[in-house]
Amino acid sequence: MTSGVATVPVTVRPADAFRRACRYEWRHLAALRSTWILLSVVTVLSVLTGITVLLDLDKQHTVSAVTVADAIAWTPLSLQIPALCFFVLVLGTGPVSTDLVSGAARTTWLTVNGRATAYGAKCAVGFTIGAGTAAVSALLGAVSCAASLAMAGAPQPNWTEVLAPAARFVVWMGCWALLCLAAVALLRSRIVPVLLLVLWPLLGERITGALLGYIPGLDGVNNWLPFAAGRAMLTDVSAYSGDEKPFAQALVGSHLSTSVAVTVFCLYTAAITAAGWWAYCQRDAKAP
Amino acid sequence: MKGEVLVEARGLSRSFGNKRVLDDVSLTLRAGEVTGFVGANGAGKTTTIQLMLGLLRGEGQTHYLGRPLHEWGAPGTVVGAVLGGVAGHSAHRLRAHLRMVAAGSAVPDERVDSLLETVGLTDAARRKLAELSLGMAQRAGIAQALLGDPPVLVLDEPANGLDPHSIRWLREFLRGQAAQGKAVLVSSHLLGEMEQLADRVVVLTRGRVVAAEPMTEVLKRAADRRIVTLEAPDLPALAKLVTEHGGHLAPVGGQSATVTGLDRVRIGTLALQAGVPLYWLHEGNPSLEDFYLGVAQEEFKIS
Repeated sequence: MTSGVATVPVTVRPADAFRRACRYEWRHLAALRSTWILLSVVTVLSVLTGITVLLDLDKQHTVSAVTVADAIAWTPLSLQIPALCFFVLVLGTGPVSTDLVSGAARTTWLTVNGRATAYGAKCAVGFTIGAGTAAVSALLGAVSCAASLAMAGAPQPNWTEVLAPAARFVVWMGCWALLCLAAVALLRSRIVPVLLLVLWPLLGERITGALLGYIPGLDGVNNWLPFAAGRAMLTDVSAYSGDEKPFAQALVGSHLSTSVAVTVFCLYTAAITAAGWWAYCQRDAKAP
Repeated sequence: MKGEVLVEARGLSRSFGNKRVLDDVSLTLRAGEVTGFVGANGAGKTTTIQLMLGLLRGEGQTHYLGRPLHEWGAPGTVVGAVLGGVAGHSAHRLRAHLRMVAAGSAVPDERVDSLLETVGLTDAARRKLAELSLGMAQRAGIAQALLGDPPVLVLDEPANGLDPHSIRWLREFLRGQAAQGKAVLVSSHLLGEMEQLADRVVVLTRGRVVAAEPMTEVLKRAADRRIVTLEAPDLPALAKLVTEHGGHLAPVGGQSATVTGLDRVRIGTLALQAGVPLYWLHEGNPSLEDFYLGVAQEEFKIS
């Protein structure tokens, strides 16, 4: 048998390694049929947004920019988080749970340049998918609303007033994807983080906020809790008219202005994502 | 270049709580050679491999072509690892999974189909990972390991789940990879398989390396551990005689016993000179397995 010479590897710069890791993560999601089914359902529901606005139109004869903004952001005011979160939850928790829960970490870590690069790529791709899905959905929703209102012969809302809430919705969904993957990294489970991320904004945080209110000196802390800030980020209560304002304020549960709320929610996201990075990089791969 | 050191692992150690499961393990892998990594189940082979690959945290260092793996920036182009089949999302189809790995190593997609053909899985390309048989998963793992054309291959128990035909294919395949200049590490508890595959062998017992040498030396040492089986009516007298001359007699029931440390000619001559009758003598060359078990037993006695 003749002896040959094996290929000598070349050193890859960190930026190139990160790009490769991002392509790896994108293909991880793109190779799953469930990803495309979810995105198709989101597309269909986004296109149907106009119908929900028409239902409001029957009562009010006109529709305000704040109502349209709430509709294209998947009604965060009434649901406490955008309904789109339930779809992005699946895409956001998948990549880390496949690694840490299903035991594929060894493939990831031996393909991309280690744990930190892998987690960074998961964050970048997750944020892009969360924010990108929200952006496309908001655009489709806006077109759907405009078309529905035109067909119903109703006046168009002031679309320039919809732009800022839509942009905040896009950022919010990107942050949500980061929270999903960080929660899986911290808890090393998929079911528990899903339950936590669904129940905490709806119930847990409200109860916590109420209990904190009983502690002397902590009155008002509930304004600064993560998803209270998140709701204040998505819904600008000051844009509501007189009699709707107190009801909207009660649903939001925070007195923070939208600009402060954006900063607070993004800081919470950054802190939890950093904790997830620490947990992911500390974990060892499952034994074969 | 054949014989060039491609992987140098030094002082690998790992503890779980107070229990030391790996103690100062060192390994050297050379280009063009297949190194057999043998040991009983639980000896620490998988832990060693995971430490070498950075999948576990522990003490010690492993350098690939002179540098730690992470410094290369693209581990898949430095070392290909097969650790119990293929690890991925169970709903991924095989081709899609390999294309994902190819993207992570900046390898063109065309190489995926070429490697699927090499490992005989072209027809299974559209199967989901969860639908692969154990043998198919092992082959898929080998295809994945080869995607980045790495100069080092590490395989943990690759023969598990393979039929004899596939084991032969694997042996010839790995010899072929070594012939191309790659350094190959294969862990196994199937020692007979190593006799035909490995150039060097490293024996791990209870987390420690107890032998590391070329296969020819191991076989020679194994031959020195010949075992003589005999039958004699007065085993106590024969045992005393054997012990006096540096051997060891172990009764195995009835009038039969085995002797190590002396060959049959020496035993026969000593028995004749001492007037101890012998009914039967047989000398057997131990297999690599006997050698390994002998080394392991000694190690257990020491500790």
